[in-house]
Amino acid sequence: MEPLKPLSENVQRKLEEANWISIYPRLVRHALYRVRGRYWRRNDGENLAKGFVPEDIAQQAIHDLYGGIRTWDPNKDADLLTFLKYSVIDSIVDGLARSGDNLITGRFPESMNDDGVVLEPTNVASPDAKHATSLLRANPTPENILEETQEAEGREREAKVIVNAILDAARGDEEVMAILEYTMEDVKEPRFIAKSLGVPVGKIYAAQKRLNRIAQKARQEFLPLNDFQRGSS
Amino acid sequence: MSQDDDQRKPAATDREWLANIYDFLSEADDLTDDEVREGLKTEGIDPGKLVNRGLAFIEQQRKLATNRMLAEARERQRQVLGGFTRSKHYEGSLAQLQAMVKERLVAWSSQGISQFAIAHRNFEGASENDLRALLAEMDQLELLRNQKDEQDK
Repeated sequence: MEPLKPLSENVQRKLEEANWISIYPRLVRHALYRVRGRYWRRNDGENLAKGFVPEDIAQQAIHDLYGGIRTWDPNKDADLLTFLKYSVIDSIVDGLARSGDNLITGRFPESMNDDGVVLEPTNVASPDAKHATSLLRANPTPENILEETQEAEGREREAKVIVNAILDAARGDEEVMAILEYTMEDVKEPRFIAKSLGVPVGKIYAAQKRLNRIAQKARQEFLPLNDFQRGSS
Repeated sequence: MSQDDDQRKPAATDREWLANIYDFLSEADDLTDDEVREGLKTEGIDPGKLVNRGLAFIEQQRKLATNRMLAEARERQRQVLGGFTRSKHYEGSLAQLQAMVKERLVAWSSQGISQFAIAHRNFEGASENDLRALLAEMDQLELLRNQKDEQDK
């Protein structure tokens, strides 16, 4: 565990001045969306590795900021929220997705070990898998393969239902449909999309809000209320 | 955040596509506070309780950070005080000691350092002991200044 370091007076002062009432919910929202779609051992979308829920990620980011573990240089990154979202939270989410606790452990076949059966982590997100949807297993047994295939198919089915619901609801909304096409091509930055479409970024942000409502509705129609939501209300 | 075109990988499955959609939605930098709260409410999260929890956590982290800063300041102070007890003893005649003080003042002036802190001392009429004490104080001032420079880096 990295040692905590004292903050400079300048950073401490800026943190005192920060509008946390506005920032904190935005951090939680960012974490909530960042974790969705990534692979987690528990397939309920919000209970992540190491017992984390999205709000814990926001708190971890703040802890690391105040503890000097993630060094914020206001001269380099003027906006605290942007720094926390894209530098700290994204990094924590990636770290969690690839953490040992997000591995699936499996038994080596007995022939692999003379001392008997040993438990070893054998299933981990591929380092180059952006959403950690690909898994590596060193020595899969036929049961492992069947289990993983069924699980992957189940997750893909869920995604298909939600994506189709989004597409159905978005039909007729040209901007949202264009955004969806861009996201399929892995383009996810509102400014980039606005530039490509030759429209003001404000239009993309407005379409993003519409898409957000559509996606929330599609997801809620599909998924039952999960633990995180129950714990928060 | 921006991504290079050559790093982009089109979604091969609906799951990857959905993940991209959520990533796009997370980059909502244009939302008002009310919209953020409303969105969280739709997710089943009570924004009022969420903010209260967040502020309590931040306050706790702030206090811990302040304690760490105070501990570091105490450590610096301890080092300075340690420096006082180990201050150098200046040898020399009255004239030599006066020359040392003058030399130090000239050096400070060239570095743009104010002399006001010691201007009240009439070192021309000071005794040898006064001059030794003055040189020791100047050492301490330099030590403090160096530490402050270090801290401001």
